[in-house]
Amino acid sequence: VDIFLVQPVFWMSSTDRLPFDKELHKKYVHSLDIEKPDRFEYWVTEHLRVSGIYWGFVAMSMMNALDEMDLEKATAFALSCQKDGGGFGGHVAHDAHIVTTFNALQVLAMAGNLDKVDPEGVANWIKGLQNEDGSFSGDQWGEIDTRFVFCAFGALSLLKCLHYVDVKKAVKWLLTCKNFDEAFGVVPEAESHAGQTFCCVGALAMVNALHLIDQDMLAWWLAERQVTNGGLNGRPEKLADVCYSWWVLSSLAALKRLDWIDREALIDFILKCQDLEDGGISDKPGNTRDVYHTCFGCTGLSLLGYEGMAPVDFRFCLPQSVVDKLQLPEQPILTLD
Amino acid sequence: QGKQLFVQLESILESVPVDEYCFMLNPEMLPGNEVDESLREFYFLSGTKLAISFKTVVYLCNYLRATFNPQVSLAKEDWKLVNTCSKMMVMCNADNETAWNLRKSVIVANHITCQDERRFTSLVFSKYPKKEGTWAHRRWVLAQLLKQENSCADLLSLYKEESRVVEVAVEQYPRAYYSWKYRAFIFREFSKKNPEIQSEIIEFELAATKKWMKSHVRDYSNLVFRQEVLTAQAQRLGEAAWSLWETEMTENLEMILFYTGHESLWNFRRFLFHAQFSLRKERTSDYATMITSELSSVSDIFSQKVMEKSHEQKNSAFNYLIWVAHVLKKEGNDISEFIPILEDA
Repeated sequence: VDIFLVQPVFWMSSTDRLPFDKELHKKYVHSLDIEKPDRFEYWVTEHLRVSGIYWGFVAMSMMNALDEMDLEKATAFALSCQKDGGGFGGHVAHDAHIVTTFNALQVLAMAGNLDKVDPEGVANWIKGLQNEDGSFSGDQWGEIDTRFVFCAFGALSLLKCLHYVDVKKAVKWLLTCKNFDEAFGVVPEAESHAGQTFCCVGALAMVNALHLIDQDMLAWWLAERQVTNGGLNGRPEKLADVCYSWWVLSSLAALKRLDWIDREALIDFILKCQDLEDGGISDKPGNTRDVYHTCFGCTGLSLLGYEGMAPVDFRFCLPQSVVDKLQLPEQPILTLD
Repeated sequence: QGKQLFVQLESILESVPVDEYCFMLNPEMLPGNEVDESLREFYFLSGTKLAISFKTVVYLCNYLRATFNPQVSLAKEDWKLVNTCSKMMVMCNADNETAWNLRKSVIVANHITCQDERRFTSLVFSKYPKKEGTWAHRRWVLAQLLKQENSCADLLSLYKEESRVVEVAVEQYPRAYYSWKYRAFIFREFSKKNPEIQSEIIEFELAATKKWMKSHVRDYSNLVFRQEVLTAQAQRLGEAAWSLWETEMTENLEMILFYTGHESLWNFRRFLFHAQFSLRKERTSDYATMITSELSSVSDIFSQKVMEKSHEQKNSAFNYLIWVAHVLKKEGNDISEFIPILEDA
């Protein structure tokens, strides 16, 4: 492609750049490690508790402070989320779902305790969620979403059990979720969305199938997510949000086109989303922080090469050191018949 | 305390057709509260409108956790209790898919009907209009409803009601992704499985999305859904599809010139271009005319001296042209006409 788009961006010079207050953000993540059933927030997030631990652990890993967390306590919690069928819920009181299953395994991987899980049990449960058309349901009730393919591939990759499912069929289905703009939606013909696109790109990367898409056109769509304040949005005409620093960036990293966005502008934006009084990162400058945006703000900074952040694996959104230690088998180039 | 609040809410839900609720800090500050004075710091009720204080949610959830054992109640088939408790659980946290799953058991046991559950999910949407779990549950409920033999004499009316539920939800939260996912689901489910009402559904949605577009210009989710509806219409029209795309292109250009600098309108144009591009071999001369016309319209935009949001408009026009050029080049088409225009811009 001789001509490609570079989106002009207006941004402040680096002399105005805010510092990254690591100690404050670590303090924030530590403060979350207390059960508070006397608070409203507790009850509207209980279903995601294991995911919250995952986000907190990733944030701490990026800040090179995972060892400050109680890995054994987190392991016990994650294991308590497993149901008889093999899948994991978000909390002991919540049903198994493919997303929380993946998050639970990610927590165990970071805690160095993946071996405490019987891989066959989990793999068989996930296998049971694959549909005739190759897609995956989130649970027995049948809802379909490209995110679930990503979670299935991710969980099975960590367990070295990808062969339990029909990978080719799943990839074929994923490709039907690709739109005319080369980005991906939640199901076929759904609106292209950066989060869904990350899931599809991540899934394709895990099974060595990225050559099956038009990488230039997709990277273009991703690059168009950058808006004038330097941040990234998830879809046209939406506001920038820090979590897209991860969804968009990791996709560009997988496509080896990270330089298609203005990196300095994005770093400035992420740093402006910090809560420099109480710690943590929020979705937009000035908004309330939460552990989810703290996680993805940190992983975004890591991918951007910001000083002091640990390297992150763009497929699994796990610290590179954790993925390396697992010694996952390399996947052969996937061909569709 | 929790028990008293549970009993009060149960009573309200059983006797009042509540159609809207929200959370607030101090319901006792609102006048006209029909709830007993001793409970006004916990609940506000006026007609069919209910407000619940945040601390009430905490008391209720703690009480339910301490006293309600879902597995035991399911095993005993205590549907009344499962129904009441799960209602409260999802009203507090509509993301609680486990609680929605409990409700599926209540429906399967015929303790409540699918129609009851449609009403109830609409109530939950009044507070939580974009939760994925609620939409997934409603999809399951609709699928159950449609499976029933005598499900609905008037499928078209049912379709329009469901479509309207999405519209109401996205009025509160424009672009809500899972709300639009549901609209696409019903469109496919109803139109593809019921050919006798397909054309009416398509006409209904073409009109609805056009109307919405005029008052929500930046709403690309609406335009994406319109893309799907147009594609379905094009399939029905067969040979005559070209004029459908032509008309859309013309109207889109009018919008672009009037509402300058909107990425959503330009992205919609990319879709329209792509639709015509796919027909280039069947309609060679119409296609050639379209290309010439596009180049002319876009260069006009570049040459305009001053207009509102000039920079965004020219940027969008430029991006559009490059995107088109890339699509053409990818398929081995000649793009030499594009170069001078792009260079000038």
